[in-house]
Amino acid sequence: MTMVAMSHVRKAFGSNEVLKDISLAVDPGEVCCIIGPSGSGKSTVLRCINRLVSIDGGEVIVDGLSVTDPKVKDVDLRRRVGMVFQQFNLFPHMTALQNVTLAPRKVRGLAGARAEETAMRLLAKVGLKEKAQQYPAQLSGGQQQRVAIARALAMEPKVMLFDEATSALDPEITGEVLGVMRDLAAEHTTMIVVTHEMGFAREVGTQLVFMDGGVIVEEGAPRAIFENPQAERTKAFLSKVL
Amino acid sequence: MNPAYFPALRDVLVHGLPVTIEVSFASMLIAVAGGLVLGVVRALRNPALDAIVIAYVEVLRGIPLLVLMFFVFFGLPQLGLHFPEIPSAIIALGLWGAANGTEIVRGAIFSIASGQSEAGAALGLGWLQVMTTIVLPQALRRMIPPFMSLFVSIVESSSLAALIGVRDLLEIVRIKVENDATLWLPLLISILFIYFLINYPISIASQRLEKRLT
Ligand SMILES: Nc1ncnc2c1ncn2[C@@H]1O[C@H](COP(=O)(O)OP(=O)(O)O)[C@@H](O)[C@H]1O
Ligand SMILES: [Mg+2]
Repeated sequence: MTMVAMSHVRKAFGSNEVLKDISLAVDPGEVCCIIGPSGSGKSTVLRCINRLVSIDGGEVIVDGLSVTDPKVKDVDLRRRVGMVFQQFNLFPHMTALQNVTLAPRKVRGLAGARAEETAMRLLAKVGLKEKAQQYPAQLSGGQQQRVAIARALAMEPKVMLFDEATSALDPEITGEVLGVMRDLAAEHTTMIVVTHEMGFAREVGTQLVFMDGGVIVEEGAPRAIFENPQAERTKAFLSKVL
Repeated sequence: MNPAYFPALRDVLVHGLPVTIEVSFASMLIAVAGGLVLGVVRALRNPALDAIVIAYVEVLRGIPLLVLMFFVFFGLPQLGLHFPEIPSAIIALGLWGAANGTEIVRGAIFSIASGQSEAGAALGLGWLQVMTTIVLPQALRRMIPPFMSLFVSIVESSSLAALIGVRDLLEIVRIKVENDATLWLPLLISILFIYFLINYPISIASQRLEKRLT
């Protein structure tokens, strides 16, 4: 079964048509990378999947739940979808551990000790066990983003969304975040990754989508597109970023 | 020194000071509670509720506080609503404080980056959970300095209550000078000092609190 299925999705902000007929299918275990110039609608695609943005037309089905179905509650959808933001968006008044345990306690109703146990395991997984008691301000950007990944994983989501997770980081520390993302991919986590890291898209991605102007211009196997892009716009974009 | 000064000052302190403190403190509580509720309502971004809260805030901030106090004490009885002097003063000052408190709370809530509530929502937290666990704890810190200045204004403005007959610091002074006008200056200087002694700790507490919460 498809994990995330978008069909003919349309979205406009006022008169600005941001998504025009987007169709996309991501199967379990796939790593779908979305590339494209800024303003092309990549973030909006991700935000339609967990209802941070409501769609104007078409359909999005996440793990069998339709985002347009009023009977599907936000929380049902969002428990299945983890999201990692460009600006980390860690909660500055909470320690790393508290950031990770908040949603399991409040949303999944886990007892404090259970939540902390899981959180420590996840912090260890992203290499930050010893930073559990630190506040975000005491952590480097790369460390903060790894905590944010642990925070999203703590809800045991079916699919993880990454919105330019490394774009706010200094080039020399993007590696530690990309490393965690590679580990997740190796464990067959279903991921949709908006990224400017072409190396990651090429080596880790199982599916590549090139967006421009609110449409999917080209999609397919990453290697095929990087080596032999079909559309003129894809060629122009790749020649600029590669 | 006028020998009548000390007994007069004694009465000012024993009878006037508790009343000034009672009126001010009760009004502060209403200002904080009302401000929190209405400020959070504003964060709902519901057009109808927004209109009501905006109207309340603008009307209460747009009329002189003394007129509001007269309205409550002299005006409302004609509508069948009678309040004694002290409750009237507290209602007027509290409602005025709540209007200002609403703007303080709203400003602090909207100053928290939208990415914070977005991250909370993406984790599955409901609107109220996002508000109480993510936004308000951060916004609270930013509310402290403006709330402390509001408290200082409330203490100062509580002296208006003398004009509807509340026997606060100022009113007791006015009563004491009725028989001896030479008491005006020493008693006024005395209560200026007392107002300062009430307000100065508020400023200090504000600075302490702000430091502790950063
Ligand atoms: N909440 C919003 N309100 C209005 N316009 C928006 C909003 N979010 C995005 N947009 C607009 O939608 C377009 C696509 O944005 P986005 O999806 O963020 O693109 P990308 O992530 O590819 O840079 C941009 O023109 C942006 O200005
Ligand atoms: Mg974007």
